[in-house]
Amino acid sequence: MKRLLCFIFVLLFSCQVFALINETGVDPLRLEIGARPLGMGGAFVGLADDVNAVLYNPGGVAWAKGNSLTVKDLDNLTVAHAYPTGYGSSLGLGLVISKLSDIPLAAGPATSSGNTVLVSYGTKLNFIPALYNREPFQRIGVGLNVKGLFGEALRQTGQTDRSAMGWDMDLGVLWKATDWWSAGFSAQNFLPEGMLGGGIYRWDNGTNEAIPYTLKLGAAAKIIGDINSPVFMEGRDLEVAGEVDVTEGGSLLLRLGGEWGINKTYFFRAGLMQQPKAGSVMTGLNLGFGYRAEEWGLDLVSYQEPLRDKRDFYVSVIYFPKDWIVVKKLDVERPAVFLEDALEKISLEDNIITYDDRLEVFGKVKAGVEVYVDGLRAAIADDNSFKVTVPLNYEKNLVVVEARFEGEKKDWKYKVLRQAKIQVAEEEIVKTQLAKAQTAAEKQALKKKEAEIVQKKQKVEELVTLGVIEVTPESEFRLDASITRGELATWLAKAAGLPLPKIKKDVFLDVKQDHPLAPYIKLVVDWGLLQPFPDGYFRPDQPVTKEEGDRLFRLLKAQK
Amino acid sequence: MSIRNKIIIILVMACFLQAGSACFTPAQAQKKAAAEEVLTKGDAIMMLSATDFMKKKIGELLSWTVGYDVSKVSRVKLTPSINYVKALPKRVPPDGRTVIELQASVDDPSGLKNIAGVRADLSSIGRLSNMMLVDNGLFGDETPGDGIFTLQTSVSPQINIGNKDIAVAVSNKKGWLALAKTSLEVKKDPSILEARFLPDRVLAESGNLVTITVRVENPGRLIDIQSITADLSALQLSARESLYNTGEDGDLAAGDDTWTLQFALPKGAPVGTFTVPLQVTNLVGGLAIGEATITVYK
Repeated sequence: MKRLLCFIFVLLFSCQVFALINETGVDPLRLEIGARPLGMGGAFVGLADDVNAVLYNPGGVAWAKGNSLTVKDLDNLTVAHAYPTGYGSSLGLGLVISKLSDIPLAAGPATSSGNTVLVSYGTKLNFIPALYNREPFQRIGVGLNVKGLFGEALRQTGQTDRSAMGWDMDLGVLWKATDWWSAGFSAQNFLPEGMLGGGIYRWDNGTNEAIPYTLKLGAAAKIIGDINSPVFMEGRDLEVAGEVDVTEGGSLLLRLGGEWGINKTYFFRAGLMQQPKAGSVMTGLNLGFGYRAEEWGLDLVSYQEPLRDKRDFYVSVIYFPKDWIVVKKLDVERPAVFLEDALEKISLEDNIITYDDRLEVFGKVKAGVEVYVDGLRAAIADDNSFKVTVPLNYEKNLVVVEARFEGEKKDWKYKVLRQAKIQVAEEEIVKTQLAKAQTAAEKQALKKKEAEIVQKKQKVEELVTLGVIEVTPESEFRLDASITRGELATWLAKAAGLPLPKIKKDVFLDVKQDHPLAPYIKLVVDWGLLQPFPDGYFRPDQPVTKEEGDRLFRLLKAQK
Repeated sequence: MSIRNKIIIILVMACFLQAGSACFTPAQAQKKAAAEEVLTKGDAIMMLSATDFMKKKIGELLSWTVGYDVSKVSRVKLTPSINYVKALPKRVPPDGRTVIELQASVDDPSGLKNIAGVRADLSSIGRLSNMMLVDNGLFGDETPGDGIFTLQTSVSPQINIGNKDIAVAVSNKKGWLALAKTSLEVKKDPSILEARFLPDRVLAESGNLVTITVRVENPGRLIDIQSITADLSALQLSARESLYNTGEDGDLAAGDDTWTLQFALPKGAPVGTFTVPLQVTNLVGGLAIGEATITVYK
């Protein structure tokens, strides 16, 4: 009987311990930390594009590099590292020190504290030799985490303090489908109970508690961003992410988050995050802010902590040196080329204004680097130099120079404005007159006239560039030539950007179906703006008088 | 352009054009226009440029922060194109002397004259990695200027057997590049494609003529087949009878891919079905083994 009572006591006691994690809701190996991921509602499995991938999705570790320190207070510190090996893979390390006090429980408040160490490795799938050169596999990262819990302690008023240890593993996949969207999956704590001694928390009283697994499936998309995004906005980025989590207890958790970036420097984040809370699910709104400098960044988040239903604040400092890599400590070879430095020289600068209809792009790259300009491959000479000619359209041109090396690529974009080059007849005349001018007054008057011509010439060039006026490159534009009704109608129609109608029959007696100005003239007539002469003629070649022009000018100015 | 601006233009045009047409008869208008000073293009330009909608357009034109999106990237086809690349023969021995003819048919958006060069990476067959193909009618090239560039080479004896890729790069004078590749098989051993007796059933003791024909394929050239022999010992003949490709003694044509031996069935040949071993050797030490079956009946 005593034995039976003893057995029942042990059973009850062990059941109490077994249930503690479930009852408190504390799962020490559920590592959802980092101000940026939390700012996006924890929906990070499908994004996993920074060092926080170590904690959320080891598949993203393949691309990750840098250090991160996340602090809530002195009892809650998280350090994460990711070291690129240079072979399409990275090694990750993590240390999580956590303490959660005053967890409200029926039997009295509890305190949980613990230290978790994590080792991670992520690689692109093309590490398999047969897949090495296949681009689709260069976009898939797979990774594994091994996590060990040391000294998890649970303290509760009126109860014996208990401690536990245990270890488990995470498996992750990240698929960077395109340059603007990605999807990820992570099986966290996937080890079956007891396999290889893992998958369980071993309590100091000899009982074991299964570590609950979590399956996470998520996706992220940069809706607004660079030219590769669906919506291009200069200096603006909108990243949205969503995630579905399934926990071992059967809970289905949804996470949604977004990040709005300004000039790749300031980031505002918001997210809805569902978390398990003692048998139920709690939805919290997280808000965050981020700042990025050249090689470091700062992230803040206000986060709804579920167990105490209280707002917590996290601060993360991250450091991501461009060419930082472990060389000596881990004895990993430096890769042949860092794409950031792949272009040794380039002839372009950003914001180029030119009159030319073509642009020579030349430079030099590191050995083995392929160069693409506007998506076309440039020939590389033996000295690793290249020189190509790119045609330019009027107005804005974007020249994209891309360096590719062993499946990786990086691009640089250069804005080029091509303006129309116009020869104004009066300019030469005035110059000639100026050269012959005798008196100072004469010279001054001519200089004033020259300045006016230059100003008008600039306006002509702008209007020709915009397509409002058509001037062939060979012809001279005469500023003092009279403008006809047809020309003015054309200019105004083009300036207004109205769609031209189809001409199916003669428009007027003197504007036949095949008249080059017929669509423009018909356009203004169709809009009820222009009346032909009563005799059925339009007279497109009739000059516009100065008086009429002045009236029009005054009307237009009046609308300013 | 906003609707407001379009309405403004419309109103302005209406005022302007009606002022010029409705107030005068055509004759009067013409007289008036002739008599009055006309509006110059320079003035019209300044007038247009001063409008709000044109100011906005010009402002956008000169802005570096708007409008530079993917639609502003040139999509003009500038690279040369490679219609095909081929290496002949497709199977070559690693003997350093069998000639491989590499041909690349190329074109360019600006015409063939814009082609700067066609080069091949022959490192996979033990040659230089940057060999130039020519279209000058020399060095194996048939026709100059036809866009088919040619290079003659061979496989180094140091190269292992197997499939080898040969990359060909075409660059044009504007600095653009196109790549293509072909492959060839480096192989030593010949192959027996077909081997048979004719007739394949022979009456014993008849002394009838029997012809054995063997059709073979050899990496490189057929002329490099060293010997084709048949072991006819089962038919009471020599264990190493040679077949010929001379166009004589039952062989239909000299120099083709079929070797022949004609013989009379010996009187003492035993009755039964016999599998006759065949052996083909070539100059690079390649070997092929095959067999043909004949039945001697009574």
